Amino acid sequence: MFIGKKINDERITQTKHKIASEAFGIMFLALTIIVFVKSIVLEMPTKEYFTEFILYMGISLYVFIRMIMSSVYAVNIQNSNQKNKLKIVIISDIVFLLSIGAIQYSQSGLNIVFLLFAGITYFAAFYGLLWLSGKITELRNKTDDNA
Amino acid sequence: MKNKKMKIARIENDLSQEQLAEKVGVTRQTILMIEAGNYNPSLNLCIAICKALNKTLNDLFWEE
Repeated sequence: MFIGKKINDERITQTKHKIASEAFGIMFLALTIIVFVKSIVLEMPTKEYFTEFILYMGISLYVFIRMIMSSVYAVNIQNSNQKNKLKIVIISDIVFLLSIGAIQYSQSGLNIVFLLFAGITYFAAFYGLLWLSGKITELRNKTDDNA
Repeated sequence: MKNKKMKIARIENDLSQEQLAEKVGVTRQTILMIEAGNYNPSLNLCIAICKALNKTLNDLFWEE
């Protein structure tokens, strides 16, 4: 099996991956700060930060899909019980509502009906995504079992 | 934990860290770190090291 076959130095590969991962983290954080500052602090028009925003959303979506497809997401959240899952969704919903509320308050005052609608939509979308990712992971695990 | 068994086996085979590294296909630092107990090699790498030193996995990597 291994005779005469040179192997890659896994330590070097691991270290390279770690460095790349750290660099990605720094870049993603910088991108988040740029989008935040341009949109909320400087209140620039959308076209001024459109590229960064698309990049931000695209990267997030890519990471999310890759995590589901590699069953990594299952380890992080899907393995926790319903109560924990609900806690994660509610906390992120509150953070989301606070951010939206703060932006609204600074611009034109609070619109409670809009906030309520946004909160429910966010909750349903997040929970729906969790459910969907769980189903995909379950399906993939079943396929792997049968292989 | 230091891997003295591997170091002894390497010396018995009259190999330097550099030579073993070349035989296995990794860098000298990797061999150094395995011997010093600072890096856990994968099963593939363990097997490659065992083959290079004519030892079994038990001989080099099993601790009683």
